[in-house]
Amino acid sequence: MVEKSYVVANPTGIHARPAKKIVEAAKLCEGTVHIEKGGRKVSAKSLVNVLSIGAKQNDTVTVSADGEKAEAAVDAIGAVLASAEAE
Amino acid sequence: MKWFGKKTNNAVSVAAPISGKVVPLSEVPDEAFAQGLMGDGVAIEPSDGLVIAPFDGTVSHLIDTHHALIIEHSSGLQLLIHVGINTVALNGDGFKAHVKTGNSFKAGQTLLECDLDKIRSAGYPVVTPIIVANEDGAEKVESTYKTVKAGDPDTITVVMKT
Repeated sequence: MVEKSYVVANPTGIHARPAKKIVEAAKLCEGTVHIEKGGRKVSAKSLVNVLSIGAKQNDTVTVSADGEKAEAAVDAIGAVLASAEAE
Repeated sequence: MKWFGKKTNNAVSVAAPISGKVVPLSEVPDEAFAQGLMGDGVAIEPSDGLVIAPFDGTVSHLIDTHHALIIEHSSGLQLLIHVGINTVALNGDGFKAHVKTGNSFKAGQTLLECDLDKIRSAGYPVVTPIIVANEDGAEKVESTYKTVKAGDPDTITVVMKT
């Protein structure tokens, strides 16, 4: 399993668009991909779930994945979380 | 059931959640929505800021800045209704939510009240994408590009993947 933590850089948090990018990144991995904040751990492949953790700027989020391309998926999600691009 | 005409069992009929003109997503001035990267759907150029429930369902997630929410139909269909473009930046100003995450609602019930003039004067487009948010997307989304009133039945038909 690959597991890494990131600090959310986006000033507007993980709203609809970054959340969708996370879902797309999670789909790089065929196995399970989870995103966790404050003890709430959900599948990163569902837009509703990703939005439901309510990640805001400076929150620490842990991403984990299992299976082929797990590392690629985690890194791609991490890139979205660490992007400060306000959109 | 033949009397539903050509509709298949996995088609979900969605009423207009907001009054205005139905337009293709490609007309939304935002690449992610326009190119379908956010998912299949349509958009409505609203003439009024009242967002109502287009079917009986539940609120899967209300974004805390109240400019968007995901609602779920009993079929499992999840729709993202996103009022305006880049409106997250308004941080809730101009938006009033009448529901919370987890609430059940009836078709026609008010979900959000949006001050379109305020959004426009802050410099944001008010066009409202309505997007299938399910993990697997939808088989297809059909709509007629015309002027609708909130609550008009069969404004959008979503055929779910089986």
